Amino acid sequence: MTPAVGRPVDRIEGRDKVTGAARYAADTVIDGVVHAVLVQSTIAKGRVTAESMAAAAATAAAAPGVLHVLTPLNCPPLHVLPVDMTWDLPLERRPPLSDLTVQHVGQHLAVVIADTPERAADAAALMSFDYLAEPAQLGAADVLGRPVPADEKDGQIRYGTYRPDHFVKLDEEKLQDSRGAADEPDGIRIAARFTTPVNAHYPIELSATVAHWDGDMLTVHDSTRWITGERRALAAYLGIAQDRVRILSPLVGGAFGSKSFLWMHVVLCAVAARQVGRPVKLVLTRNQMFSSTGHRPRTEQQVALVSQADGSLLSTEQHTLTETSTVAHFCEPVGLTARFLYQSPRMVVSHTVARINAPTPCFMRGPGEAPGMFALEVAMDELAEATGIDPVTLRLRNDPACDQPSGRAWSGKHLRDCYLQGAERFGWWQRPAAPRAMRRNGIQVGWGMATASYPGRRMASGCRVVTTRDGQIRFAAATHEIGTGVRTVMAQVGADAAGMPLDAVTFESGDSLFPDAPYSGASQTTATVGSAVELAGRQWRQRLGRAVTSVAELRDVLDADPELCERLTFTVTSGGPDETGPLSQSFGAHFCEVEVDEEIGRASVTRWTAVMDCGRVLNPKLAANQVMGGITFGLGMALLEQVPYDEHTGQLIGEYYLPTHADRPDFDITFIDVPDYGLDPIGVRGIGEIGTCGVPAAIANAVHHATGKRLRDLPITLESLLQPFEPEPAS
Amino acid sequence: MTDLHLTVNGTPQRLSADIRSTLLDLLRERLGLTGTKKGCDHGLCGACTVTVDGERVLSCLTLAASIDGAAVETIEGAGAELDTVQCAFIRHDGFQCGYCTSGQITSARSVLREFARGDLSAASFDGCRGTVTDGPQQLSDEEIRERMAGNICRCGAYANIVSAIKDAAS
Amino acid sequence: MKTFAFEHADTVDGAVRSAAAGARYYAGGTNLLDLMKLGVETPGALVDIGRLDLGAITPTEDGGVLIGAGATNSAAANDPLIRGHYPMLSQAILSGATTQIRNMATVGGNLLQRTRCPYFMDPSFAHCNKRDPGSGCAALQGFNREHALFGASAACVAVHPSDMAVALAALDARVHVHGPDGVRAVPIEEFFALPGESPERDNTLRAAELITGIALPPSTLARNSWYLKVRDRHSYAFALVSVAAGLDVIDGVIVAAALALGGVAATPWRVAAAEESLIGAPVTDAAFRTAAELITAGAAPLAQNGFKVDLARNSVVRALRRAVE
Repeated sequence: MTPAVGRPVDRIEGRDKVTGAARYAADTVIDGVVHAVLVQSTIAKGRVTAESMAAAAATAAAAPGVLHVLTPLNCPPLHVLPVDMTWDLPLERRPPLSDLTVQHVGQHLAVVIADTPERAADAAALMSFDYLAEPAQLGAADVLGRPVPADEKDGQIRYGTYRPDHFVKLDEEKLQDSRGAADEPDGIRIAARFTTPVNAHYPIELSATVAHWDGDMLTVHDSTRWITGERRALAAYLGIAQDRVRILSPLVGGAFGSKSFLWMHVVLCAVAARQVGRPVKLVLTRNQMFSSTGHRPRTEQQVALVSQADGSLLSTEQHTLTETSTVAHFCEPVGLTARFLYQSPRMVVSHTVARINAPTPCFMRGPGEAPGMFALEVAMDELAEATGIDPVTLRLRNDPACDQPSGRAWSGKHLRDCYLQGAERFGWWQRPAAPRAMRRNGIQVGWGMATASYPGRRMASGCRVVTTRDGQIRFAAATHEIGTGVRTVMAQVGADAAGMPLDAVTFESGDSLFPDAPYSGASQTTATVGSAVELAGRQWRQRLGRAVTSVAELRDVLDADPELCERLTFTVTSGGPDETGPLSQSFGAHFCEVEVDEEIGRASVTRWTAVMDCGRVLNPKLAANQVMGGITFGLGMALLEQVPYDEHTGQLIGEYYLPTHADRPDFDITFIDVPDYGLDPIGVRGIGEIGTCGVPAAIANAVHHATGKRLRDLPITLESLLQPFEPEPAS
Repeated sequence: MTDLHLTVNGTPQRLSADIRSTLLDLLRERLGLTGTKKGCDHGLCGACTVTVDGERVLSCLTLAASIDGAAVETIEGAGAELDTVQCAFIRHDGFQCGYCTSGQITSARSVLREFARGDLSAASFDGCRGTVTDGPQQLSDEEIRERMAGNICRCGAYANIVSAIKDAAS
Repeated sequence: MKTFAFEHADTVDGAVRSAAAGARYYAGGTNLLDLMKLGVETPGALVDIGRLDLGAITPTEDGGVLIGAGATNSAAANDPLIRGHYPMLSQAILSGATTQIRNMATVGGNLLQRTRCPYFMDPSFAHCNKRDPGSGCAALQGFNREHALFGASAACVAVHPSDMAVALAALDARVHVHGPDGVRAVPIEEFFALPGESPERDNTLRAAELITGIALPPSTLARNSWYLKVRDRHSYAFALVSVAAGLDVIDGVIVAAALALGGVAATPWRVAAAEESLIGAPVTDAAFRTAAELITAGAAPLAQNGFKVDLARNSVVRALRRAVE
């Protein structure tokens, strides 16, 4: 029997997706559902007067169809989350609607619940508040060097700056780190400042929650990619036992880092449902998606590279200033990649986080890597220019044999193959070294490249397998289908592990009643849940105890031995990675061509070659799509995306531009496809994010090659590419 | 409230609706046709694309009362059998999360009809002069991309969507 | 959004009567409904004009074309008369929005769409003279990257976002309107209103006037015309700068020229001197550059939109080059 893994199997839920049958949280049909609309702050700091809050609530409550108006004046007090949940994760320390103070534009101030969406929206629009505004700190510059106000509300609200030790719960991912000599050595030096703006995940699916209570049992349909964590956080906020909460998230319409932590509107939806005694549906508006479900915060980076004349690095420094809210911790781990990516005897990275009056940020595709590798890979390009060494050659020269911070080897690394195969496929070696040397149809053309890298992560996960009398093998875990294809590749893994054909096997996700799985993020799901599925499949085969290769055969066996169904229904748990073994890291290389039409300031990314070393590829069709999507995501970061804020008030203004069909390049995607069993028994390392890492730098480097302009601030704008008007024609 | 008569996926529907109701909310909340998706509610993403009287439109910016009497087709309307476009989308993996897919497919079908009757796009002007008067001879990649540009895909499945459309067109 | 009264008009006169009583015209709704959701527009009553059969596109006696105001953007852009005789107009319309929106929006509505200035579009910004006369203009000291170079005032620096209008300006269109006091034809250059001290008025329509059609005179520019739109991404975005350019060239000499800029003012921007400089000139880049300088004379950039001056000049040269290709 041909193994299922490695085949370009069609996405299992594809039929549902092309017929409109695919259900997302907002599609949940529940009798008697009513509709909730959030009312949010339009100022960044201060408070709402109690009188105006009461008056606004009364006005809304009197509007047609309104069932209830939830405000800080009447919201049942929510519990404060335990410190171990908020210390190092972007979960807000201050429960929503807990007082009348405002810490950022977009903070939830009220929830209006009415019988129809139109009436709820209309009533919500009636609520206007009297604010007592205070001077807000809208950016790190407003915080640095200023006196730090005292903590408020028992440390729920904090100001000033801080320097976290490590990234989330990963002790070894040190955010303040150094090695080698104290002083920077002499050599060829590149030092530059880079900035990246606020970016939004902007999944097309608006976050949606439908909550209903049945006695003391709460069921929440939510577009979440962290079922297990959300159940825990929701139970904690509400002060109920976790087994009184069920979370359902059958399909998620894109997350990219959002939808993974319990955001305040989810608990408010649950509270609203309890207050009105009806199921309540709350769908965030697109504008609310910018403030209520996380974002990538701004970074300002100082990078300094020193090398010998032959390009061998002597020193790498990357110092980051970034931002979080006053009510939650988050540090964009910008400098983590610089610690290990290139062989560098001396290294210093630091991260300073300023607490500002802005919404709480969170992980966004390639957290740390996306902005950090932008700066690092542009700096390497600058070093290539300064030393006269080809950018690919420079990277090959500095390719380390092991992870320098820990001294550990990598379980698998084929980065050299990525560089060389990519260069060959792209035609890189025909590249003239000098900028502005290539032109086509009167337009400047440039070629740029960058390294890609992303850790291979894995956590513990459960997996249940149920065998039915009609010969179906149903694996399940409380993980999430967010578009990565997990339901398909897990079925492929399960089928092979069980030794059965693919049509005998399904994989279900999206229910907290299934065995616990971690959040679908950090590109870890395939390794994590896959390990559990593989374990379950192998045990299934052992328990079956005989060779069976078709559904029909299985049915016969089960008919003959009905108790076998029960023995073939069980749950397993797989663990995290071996902490003492080699490290798992994925690598890749990006090569791109950009045309820059300087007359009108337009950059067009025409073609892209990427070669990825992500371990084994379970499904080449899905994997290639994922990488193309990651590159497109990075293209947006490079050329289009910044959340536009009014600099005086912090309010959102204008539109957030994503790449359209007309903006993306032609793609050439290759995988090295060598299994790496260091992380998990399937040989995978995850591909969800690596496609984005390095992309903005590759584009910026290509733009430099085309124009001679070194652009270090994202997004690269039309203004920065536009050539001045020449009254006389160029001679 | 207002009385509306709409033919939805071939079935006459008579509804009493809030005058403010958009076609999108009517389809999803009143008729339970949740295949059409809300991505922005302000005409910025194309996820809510349906056809009204045979032409593709944004249902989030369609006041239901203003199309009283019209025929609406949603993604559910095609019936149980998958058509060429749907099969091509599956074959080419023209989606990831699937949330924009209803709009992409509705637009893709419309692209094929619009091209067949000689409609132009902004991309048509980059060709020869005859293209503007007669319509493009070929549904090129550039034409498809421009004609589909009103359907945003954040997952970035664009390349496979175009492959699916070219496959279905052939 | 606030609720409203709603009726379908059966006749033009009936529609005008309803408007005279306070109802707002409702056609495709792609802008008005959006602004109603945002709370920027709060009409108490709508009169739907979709059944008035104003969609015909017909040749006129003088050799031109009359486009019914009810024609959708798509219908107008694809109409054989427009494609054949006014390709620049077809190209301009097709540069705007997306197919879905163009299938809904009417050409009359296209003229009446309101500015995309973010301060105008969000009522939570207190200072917007166009939305709330007398309240001030937040864009002056705030985000003004996309705003006007010409014709602005201390009260308002917003631009009109229509692509179609720029081409209509270059083609000397006239807007036919039907109001309580009868019918009239408004030359396109008199249709839009500069902000002055009353930016709440986008155009010179009188109360309850309904646009019934757009008349185009016969044009000699079809052979050499082009609409160039420059924006932040390759499609589906409003113009930072756009150019409608049309030339009539005989034996390598320009005998007629029309040049209009979009995205830079509350109205399409034409400068007679720029067009006159092209008449009698050979088809050369130097001639194009002179026209580019003349059409951008008097530009008054704001803090963030100064780049639009060079962009406009470069775009004029580019558009004229493409027009003669």
